[in-house]
Amino acid sequence: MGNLKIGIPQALLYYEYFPLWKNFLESLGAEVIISGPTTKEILDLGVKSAISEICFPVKVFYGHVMSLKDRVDYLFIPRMVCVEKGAYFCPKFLGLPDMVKSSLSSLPPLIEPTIDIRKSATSFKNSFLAVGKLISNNSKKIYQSFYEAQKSFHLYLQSKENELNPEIININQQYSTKLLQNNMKNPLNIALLGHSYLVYDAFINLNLISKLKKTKINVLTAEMVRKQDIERKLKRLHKPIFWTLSKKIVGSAFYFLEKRIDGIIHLTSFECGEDSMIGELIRQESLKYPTVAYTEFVFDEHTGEAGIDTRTEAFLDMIIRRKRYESNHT
Amino acid sequence: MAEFLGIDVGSISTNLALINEKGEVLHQVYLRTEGQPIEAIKKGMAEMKQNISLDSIQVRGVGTTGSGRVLAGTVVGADVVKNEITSQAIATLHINPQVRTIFEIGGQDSKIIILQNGIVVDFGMNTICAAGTGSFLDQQAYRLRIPIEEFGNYALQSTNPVRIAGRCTVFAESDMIHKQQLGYEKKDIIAGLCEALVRNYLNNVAKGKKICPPIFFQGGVASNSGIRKSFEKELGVKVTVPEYHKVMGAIGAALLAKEEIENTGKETSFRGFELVDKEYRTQGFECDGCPNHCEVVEIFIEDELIARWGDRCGKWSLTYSQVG
Repeated sequence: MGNLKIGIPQALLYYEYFPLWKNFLESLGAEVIISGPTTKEILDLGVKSAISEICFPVKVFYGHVMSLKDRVDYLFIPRMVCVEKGAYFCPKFLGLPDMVKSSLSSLPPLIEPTIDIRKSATSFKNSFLAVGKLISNNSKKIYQSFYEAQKSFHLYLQSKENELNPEIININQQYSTKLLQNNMKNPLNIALLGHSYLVYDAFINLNLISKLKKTKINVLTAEMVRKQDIERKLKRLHKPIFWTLSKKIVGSAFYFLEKRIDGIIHLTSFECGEDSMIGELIRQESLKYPTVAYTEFVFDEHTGEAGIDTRTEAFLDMIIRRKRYESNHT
Repeated sequence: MAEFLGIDVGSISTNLALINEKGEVLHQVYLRTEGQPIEAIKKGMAEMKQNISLDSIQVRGVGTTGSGRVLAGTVVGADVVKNEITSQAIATLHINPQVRTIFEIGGQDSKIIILQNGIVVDFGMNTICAAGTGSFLDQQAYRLRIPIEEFGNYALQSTNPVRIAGRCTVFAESDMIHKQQLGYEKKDIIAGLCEALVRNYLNNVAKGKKICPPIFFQGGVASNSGIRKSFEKELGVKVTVPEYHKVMGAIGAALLAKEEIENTGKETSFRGFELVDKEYRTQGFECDGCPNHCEVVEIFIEDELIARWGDRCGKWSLTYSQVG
């Protein structure tokens, strides 16, 4: 049964789980095909095919599904419900496979494992094993593939931390050694926080990361903060956040605020309910740290480059001029 | 003498300001962009040329700002190209270093800038919707057959403003029409509209910002005394409209050019007032190199290509579109 073509849309949870999915499916002999980075064509397809009330990121997802559907035997769209105690995915992820099936026609069959550890602690594993059976008859091989994929995924997550953590350590040193007095020569440390499908989709965020890097800015993201640090920072909230992805954003925002980096840009989607809640949480917390500049960029299909450039430029000017003022007055 | 020129190309208006070494405004020009930024710049330059004696003037630096700043910078040969927030703030602080809050409402966007100790510490801009900006007021003035310059005076005459829904311009317009059909007076509807715009501004653009006096109100809409009065009524403090409120962006750009030239000692790259007699031309094409189909624009002086942009990947770009 080899050489099954399984399509994975490069949107939404792709940015969280792709290495895990890919390793598992490929080690069982399937061919994984991704839709590739978002383009204008994909965005147009998504806006045209998705229901108009749905949020922008889901529209983008639709575009990726449309561009993949005629090239693959199966579409891989898991139903992610719950992967940790006390937190869930947004309801749109819960209904994603249904939404896609009910509103798009002539789709290939979907592989749609439900991952919900509330039902059973082994739900994560079991759903993968069930998927494996679609591709292979060899139970032992399926088991093996799952454990290996999971192991390498954990290594991947850690490597993201380890690789990037030195930069954070660097910030602390800069501050403690007062190198900042000569701040114009030092790179600025700016965190880009938001759902990974906004932060890492360069088409949607209009190349924000590379624009910042071009101006010698050290870009930090939530992936660089260790999970235990995120959990620790979240403890200060009166009521826990019950969205898995938002927890990461808020926890890392609090972490970066405490580290007193130069600025935080929160990237949000216009129609996103989670974002509108946590945006306010982060904004209120940021008021306690007047030296950390904070702003929010809102994205949707109408977002033009000019507006984002103006805001980015003004935000950086604000930080640079403030630092210049501070170094002249201390 | 050394003079510095600032040009602010916005969606609705194009403004120019010429300042001297002390930062005093020697001449200002305010005109409508009318969707033709290059023509507007040339017209503005021609008007300025007529009103100053070129022999006694030496432009040592040029700055551009506004949504058309990159185009303007390319056309005139600017030394500095800056965003509107920084330019507005620099101009305001130059006039009054004590100012803590700037309300700026222009043709298609509006902003709030929070200042402390003479530096910007926070800012906000309108997000998706342009509700409550100059274009909408223009449109309503036209619909009511009132010259936009008279709009404020009508509002000031009202003693009983009508409540208008200001959250969205489309709804505001239907609400206004509805109120007209019910027979309310024009002046009360206009005053109600001013109040709705101010409410909308304070609840959206200024949401979560700490507004401290002194407050400066600038941008084209600051000419509308009805809006200023509504701000004062809503906030309970004085709101100042500075003398050069319409050209503050241009003044800021000129001041930034002065700062740039003084810091670097560079010679200006200004193309000179002769550019008003030159033929500028733009042409565009859609790149078919990838599924993004970027619309690439080329700018020519006479027949020489001076800039090209609009592509995401950068393979066509001839000028660096600046961030920071």
